[in-house]
Amino acid sequence: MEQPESSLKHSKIPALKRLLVDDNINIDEAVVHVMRLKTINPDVHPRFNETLRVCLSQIVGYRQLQAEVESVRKVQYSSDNLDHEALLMQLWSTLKPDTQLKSRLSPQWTELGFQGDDPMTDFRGMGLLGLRNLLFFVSSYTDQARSMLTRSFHPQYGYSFAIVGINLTSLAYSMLTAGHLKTHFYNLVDGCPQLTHFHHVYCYLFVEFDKFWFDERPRDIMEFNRVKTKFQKQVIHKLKNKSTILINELIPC
Amino acid sequence: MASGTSRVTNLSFLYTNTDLDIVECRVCNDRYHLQGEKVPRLLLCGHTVCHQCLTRLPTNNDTLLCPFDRQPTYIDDSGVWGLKKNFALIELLEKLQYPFRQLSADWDDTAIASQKKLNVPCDENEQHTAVLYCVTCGSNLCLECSNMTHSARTLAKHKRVPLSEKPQEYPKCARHPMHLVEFACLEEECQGAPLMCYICKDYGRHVQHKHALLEAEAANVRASLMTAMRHVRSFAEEVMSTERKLAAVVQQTEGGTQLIQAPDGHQHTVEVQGTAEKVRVRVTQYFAELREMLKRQEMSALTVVDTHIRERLCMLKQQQEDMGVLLSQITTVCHQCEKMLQEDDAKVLLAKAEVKTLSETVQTQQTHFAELPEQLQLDPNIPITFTKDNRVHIGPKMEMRVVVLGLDHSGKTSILFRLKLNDFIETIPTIGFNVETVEFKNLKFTFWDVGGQKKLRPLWKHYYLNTQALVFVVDSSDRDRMNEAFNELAKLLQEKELQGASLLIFANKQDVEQCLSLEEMVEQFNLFKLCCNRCWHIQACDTSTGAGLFDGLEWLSHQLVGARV
Repeated sequence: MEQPESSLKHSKIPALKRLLVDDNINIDEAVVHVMRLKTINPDVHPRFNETLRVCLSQIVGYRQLQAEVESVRKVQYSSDNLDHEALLMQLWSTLKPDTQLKSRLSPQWTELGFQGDDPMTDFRGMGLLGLRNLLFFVSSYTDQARSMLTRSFHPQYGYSFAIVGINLTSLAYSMLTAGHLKTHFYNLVDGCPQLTHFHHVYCYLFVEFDKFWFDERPRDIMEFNRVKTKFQKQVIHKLKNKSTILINELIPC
Repeated sequence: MASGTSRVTNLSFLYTNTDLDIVECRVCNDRYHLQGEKVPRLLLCGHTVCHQCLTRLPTNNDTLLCPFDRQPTYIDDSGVWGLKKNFALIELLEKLQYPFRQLSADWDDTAIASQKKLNVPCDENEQHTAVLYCVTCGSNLCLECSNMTHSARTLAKHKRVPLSEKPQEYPKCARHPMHLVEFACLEEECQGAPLMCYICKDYGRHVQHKHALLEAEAANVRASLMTAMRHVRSFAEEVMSTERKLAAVVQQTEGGTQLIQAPDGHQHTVEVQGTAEKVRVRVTQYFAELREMLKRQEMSALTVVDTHIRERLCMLKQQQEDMGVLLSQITTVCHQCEKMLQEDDAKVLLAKAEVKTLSETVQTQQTHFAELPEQLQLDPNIPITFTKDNRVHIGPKMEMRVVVLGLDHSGKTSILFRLKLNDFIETIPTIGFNVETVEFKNLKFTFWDVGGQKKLRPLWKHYYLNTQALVFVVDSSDRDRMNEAFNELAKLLQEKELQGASLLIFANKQDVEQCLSLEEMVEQFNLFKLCCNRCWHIQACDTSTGAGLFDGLEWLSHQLVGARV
């Protein structure tokens, strides 16, 4: 799947190279264009047309997903924005349905693994993407999320659930930006991957990381960055395998 | 004016305790007088009795019996009055009463000196200073002239008093020379010439003026003079004591010999060191120690450099030797190849395997050689830097371990990013720590940025060891948590492992409106007190532009590197 991409990238024809950088590409026109340039007879290669169409839409789709994710990340969490606040409250009520949040600024937030009284300050670098990732995870796999939250208070191997979640958003985001996730999306979706697909990758990473963390038996939370880097290397290594799709039994995608 | 007897009392200092029993009548025990009832009279037997007691003795056939030895003394018609006075005794009495005629020798020096102080010239000889005043003659006399002029018997009876007891003399009135000045005018306009006689007062220019007796007014003036004098005296004393103190201070400053009373009572002189000398000694001592320390530091620095040079030379020579060996090997191979070229075809063919091994050897040696440059030190320069404590550091960069702490969301990671990549990024909460090295000038900082989450703070302590500097980051815009921040800082400054670490406070986010200024921070949290005994600096900065961050590094570098280098 990445072969056509690499071919386009190294093509001597500027028009083909442009396919990798231009937004708003009409895929049908592009397919015709490529076939004419490469003088491919559709009668001789009947499936070429279709295959190229899928390829191109995946390539373009990945880029569009990158742009979409970036746009969500760029949105800073604002306590003046009622939508943002509603999402945050939803996060609380999903994870702690039986406990009332006493006030918007409250030490209770640390029970979800935020750093202080106001979760807003923790979203910073990942913006709204961090919150949306988290919320998607806890809403889609509520039981799993709750049990992970409970386990995150382990006396020795405990970690701060929410900010680890935000760190994992950062991990997913950097892997998306670096192109590591192409393997996954190219194998998974025959067209344009959507934000939901990205959320699913996030869920996968979160669940896998949780397992990985406990398996690593870290001395204390100070080992987080080491463990995270190790985890990231493993995932990237896995993605080197062209047939990899990031799924597990819990996160069927 | 004092009477004769009272003068005797007044002048009692002139004679010592003379036994006065000899001038008492042994019958009535009263003092003999020069004349009258108590005049001493002689009996025929030689005893002396006072006139009064003699008149009381019974007369028998014109004879009196001596009360002491019953010897008769004949009395004529004139009765007791006819008996001779005891002139010897009378003369003695006289001498006792007017003693200075001949007691000049008894005047002690102090008494004379006190009279001489009045500084009145002797009327007989202007060269002399008078000490006496003859009441009868009205003249001031010195002792010698007094004895000389009053040696005649009649003159000897002149009453003379010490000059200080000279009776008051009123001057004559200026307008009425016949009269003495007796009053003083009290009117304001007459203060220029207040003296007046009774004529001036009653009939002259001071008629109906307010007045007082000269004596009384003089007493008033004297009283005020006394007050003034007391005042002057106390003032003088004050001046004197200050002067004394100054003198003492001068002595203490200058030092010198001093009398010391030893416990056994002996006095001996001791050389006391003045404060000036002490200070000089201290200065000398300080610089001597400094020189001593510098010497030691120089020695150890030289040792370090020498060791380094030795090792380096040793390695260089070793490498040189290796090169020589390598060269000879290669030359041998070359020779062998050349020799082989000369051989005939059959031999060349036979030597094929040999040639192959040879060329392989050369190739391996070549790969080894290619790898060498990293180990080869082809730069003769030996870069050194000096630390602040005058240690020498050999190598291009000096390393400094810095731990960056602060509350969560204060901007620690952003600062690290800014320093490392000179770019601003919105970070994510740090879980655990980040570590980055930043090169700045000839320094290589290793920054340990540890997460500020409350849960992580107890783990900060694992990062203190061997830390040369602590960077504490404060979010200047987070007024609500400013107290929490400085409480954490106060706790950090108590840590033993951070005692020697320099402290750099980054007052971050100074670009945010309504942030706390440096001055407010220093004031509110009493930083001078908090950070005393420590090298510390507070630096305003903001990560969005990077302002102030490198100034902070500059300060940090000065903490490690000697100032002159």
